[in-house]
Amino acid sequence: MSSSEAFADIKSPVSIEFNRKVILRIQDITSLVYGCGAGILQLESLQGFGLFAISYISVAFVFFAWFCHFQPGKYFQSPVQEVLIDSLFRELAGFVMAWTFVYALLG
Amino acid sequence: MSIISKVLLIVALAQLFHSGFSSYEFHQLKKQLAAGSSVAIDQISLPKDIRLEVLSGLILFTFSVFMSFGKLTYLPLSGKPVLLSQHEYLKEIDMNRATMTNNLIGSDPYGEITYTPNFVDVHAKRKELKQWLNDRESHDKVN
Repeated sequence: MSSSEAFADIKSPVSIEFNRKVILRIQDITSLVYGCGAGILQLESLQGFGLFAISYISVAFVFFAWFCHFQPGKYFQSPVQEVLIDSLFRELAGFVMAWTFVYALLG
Repeated sequence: MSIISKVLLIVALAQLFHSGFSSYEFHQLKKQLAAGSSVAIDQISLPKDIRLEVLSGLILFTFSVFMSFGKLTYLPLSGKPVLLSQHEYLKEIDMNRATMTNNLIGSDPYGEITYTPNFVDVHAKRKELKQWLNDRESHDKVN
C-alpha cells in the first residue's frame, strides 16, 4: 500500500466542523422563517408539517447543488446523515415554535 | 454578506411582514363577518395574492441566506497581501486536500508540535540577544 493510499481516509476535523456549522446555520435560519410562513398562511396539522418537509428537503437540495456542486462526499463524511437526519428534530422544533407563535399572533 | 443578499433579505422581510399584516387584517374581517352575518365563513380561505406573497418572500429569503455565504478567501501570511480563493463555499474534508489551503497561505497548523516553542529556553535566548547587542555596541564604538 502506497503512502497516498494509506492517508486517503484521513479526514480533517477542522473542515468537518466548519462545513457542519455552515449547513446548521442555513437550516436554523430557514426553518424559523418557513415556520413564520406557515403561521402567516394559517396552516394546520399535516399541511404545516408538509410545508416543513418540502422546505427542509428543498433547502438540502439547493445546498447540495450550490455549495457542494453535487459532490457532497467531498465535504461530508456521510452527507445524508449529516445534512438531513442529524439536525431534523432540532429544525422541526424551531419550525413548530415559529409556526405556532405566528399562527396565534395572527389568528 | 453581499449587497445582492442584503437587498434580497430586505425585500423578503418586507414581503413577509406585509403578507403577515394582510393575513391579520383578513382574519379580523372574517371574525367580524362571522359575528354580524350568516355568511359561511369556513368557505372563505386566505386570498391567493397573500399566499403568493408569502411564497415569494420565503423563496427570496432562502436565496438571500445562501447568497450571504461568499466563496472562502484567504490572506497569505507571507508575500503580497492579496486575497486568495479556491472558489469553494465549503472546505474539503480529505486531509490531503484540506492541507492545500494551509500550504496556499503559508500556514502551519501543527507548528506548535513541529517547532515545540514551549521547549525554547527563553532565558538563554534573552542572554544570547543581550550578548549580541553588547557585541554590536562595542563593535560600533571601535569603528
